[in-house]
Amino acid sequence: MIYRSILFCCFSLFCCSSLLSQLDSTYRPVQLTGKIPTDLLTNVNDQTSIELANRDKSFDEKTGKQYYALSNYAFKQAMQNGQVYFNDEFSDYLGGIADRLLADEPELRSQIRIYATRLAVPNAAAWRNGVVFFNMPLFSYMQSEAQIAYVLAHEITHYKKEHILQRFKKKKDLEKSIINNSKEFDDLFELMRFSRENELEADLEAFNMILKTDYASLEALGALKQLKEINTSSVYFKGNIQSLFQITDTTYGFKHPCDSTNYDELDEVEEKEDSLSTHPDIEKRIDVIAQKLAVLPDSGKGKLFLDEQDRFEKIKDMAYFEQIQHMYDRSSYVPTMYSALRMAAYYPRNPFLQESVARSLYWIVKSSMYGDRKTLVPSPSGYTGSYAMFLCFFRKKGTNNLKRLSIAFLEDRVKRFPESEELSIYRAKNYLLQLKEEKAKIGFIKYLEKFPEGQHSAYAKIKLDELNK
Amino acid sequence: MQIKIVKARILSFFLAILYVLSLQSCASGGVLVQKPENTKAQPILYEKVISIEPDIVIIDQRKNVEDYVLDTETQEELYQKYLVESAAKHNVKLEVYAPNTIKAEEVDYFNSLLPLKKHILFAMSQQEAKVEEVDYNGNKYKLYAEHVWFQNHLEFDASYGHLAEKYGTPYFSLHGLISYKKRKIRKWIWLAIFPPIGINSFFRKTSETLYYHVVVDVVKGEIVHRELRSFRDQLSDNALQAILYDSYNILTYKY
Repeated sequence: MIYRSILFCCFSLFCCSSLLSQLDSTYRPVQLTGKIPTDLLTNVNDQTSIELANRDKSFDEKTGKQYYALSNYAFKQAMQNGQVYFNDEFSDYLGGIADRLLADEPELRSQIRIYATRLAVPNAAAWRNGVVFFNMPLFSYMQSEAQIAYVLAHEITHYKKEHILQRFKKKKDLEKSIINNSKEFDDLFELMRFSRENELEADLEAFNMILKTDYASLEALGALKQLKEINTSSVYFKGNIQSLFQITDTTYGFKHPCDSTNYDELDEVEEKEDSLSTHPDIEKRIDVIAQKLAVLPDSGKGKLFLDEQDRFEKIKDMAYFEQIQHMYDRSSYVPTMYSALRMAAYYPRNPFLQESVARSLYWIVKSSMYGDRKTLVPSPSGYTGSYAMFLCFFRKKGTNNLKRLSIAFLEDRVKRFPESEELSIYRAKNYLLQLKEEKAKIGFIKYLEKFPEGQHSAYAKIKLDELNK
Repeated sequence: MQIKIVKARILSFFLAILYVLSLQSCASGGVLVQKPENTKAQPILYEKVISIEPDIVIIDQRKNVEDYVLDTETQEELYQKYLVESAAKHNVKLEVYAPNTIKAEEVDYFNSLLPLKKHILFAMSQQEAKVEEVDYNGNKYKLYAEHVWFQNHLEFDASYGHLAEKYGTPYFSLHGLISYKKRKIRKWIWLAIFPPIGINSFFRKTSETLYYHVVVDVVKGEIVHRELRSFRDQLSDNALQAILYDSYNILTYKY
């Protein structure tokens, strides 16, 4: 799913010409600032004790402890693992949308806290304590502010209607019923059905929330259709490795080890039975909202953007950049390279994109020389088009060829981006990795001449000393 | 005389059984330590080390999930305290950065320390410890005491060199501990049906603890110390303190 979202991001880049000038070409990933919100410093024991003292009346102490302790622990793990943004522009933008959605429910609004996250799945989720997660890849699928509003409204409804508590109670009730083998499956089906009912309720309530605002109600349908794309998109577009890397050094040949005819488009995904799914089939969800829209006298009214459209486009661009950093942090080096190279076509002066490629290439080459490259390069089966070819290239290309590619890429980019410390140090590191000690020495010396107080100057000095011994 | 010999034989038979059973109840385990070859001649002097979010997970099958989840959090604070004390006993100043120790202004924890931890763990997964001696087969495995000097540097992402100046040391560490205690099921039934197995099940260890300690040099972008330890016994306070003391003993040992 992460790779489909990458492909869709890149496909969107081709489609949306308004993206081109939205971001400064020196954009770098967000650094968090300010004070850490209390949500991120949760203490499970303290929180559970407080909630147990004021617990839901239908809970005995044992059940209450189970509910509060486990959910607080899961929440703590989610918040404290470095996946959550705070005091950032993404969460601020989403907060603005929530303000508009809940303008007539200030008390509910005060309970909702929205965080953008680094999670790889294009999704959003609500916690029982009012926190809503909006995962960064989901920005790529949203075509308007109104669609984001619908998604947020859906999640807020889960909190408002206490669906998590209801589901827990339902599960407990089912556990109390007589258990035999066949009944366990009945219980599972019943729990899944209950979950799907909650999802439909959230869809309808979110639609009603949108109707109360100036957002275009038609975008509720648009949002669901975009969510459908997450499951079924198979993007194919032309491209080759040479045009991706754009290396001017003609001595490096880009002979591809793979046959492009092996990577046909995937078949359309058929509608599937959803009895074991927590969510209704997306087509059913679309139908429900479409029926609601059909009876509205003015379904075409409303606005796609209540905030500035430029801001929405900027947020989407920023989300693309952030996802590249996330992929690198997850050690998904090939998707990082692919996404960064595609983005570089639109932001040719951005050094961060080139640095991401340089770092990723280094690890691919290293694993090829000293480890098993297949642990870092996924198999191309299941993917289509130029991304599949990209994977196949890195899967099958010989180690010596990859070594030459990384050197050719770095020599080219150091010339184009002389002010980039990362590119300069990675050039020297690559020579060192490939046991070309004289060239590595020259690389480190050049780095220290250009950046005497640079971020990597201590490292460069240490390596130079080791090489001179 | 003959009766005395028979009595002596019966007694020695039961003593032998008791001896075998007592062996079952001994703690067992192993330690695997890896350091760079060049630190053999020039050991690293660890004056200050930054510990990033020491991990501890305690699973006790005898309890409900919610109980041992709450216990884990209590144990976290104790674990951090013992880490600092053990390090101090070896003249190492250990500063622990974790969600329960950082202040609200210490945003760099999320900007730099957690990503650093992620990169170290990934590098570790790509550069396996030499574990040919470890044979994992169901619940049984062996980890022998071994000390390995490696020549190829265990490298990770080197974009964190600036942290050395900020935190006053190039050495950052990760600690992880998982302790698992199985419930002894059906031991009374076995005792009734077949006493030898039943008695054995009372003595046999059903706890297991795994511990790792990794130290990196962020300026060099290298892992400079790696310890993997197994301990087949219940994790008491004393056992935990002993493990951590020994861990820092190994870290600071001069060959």
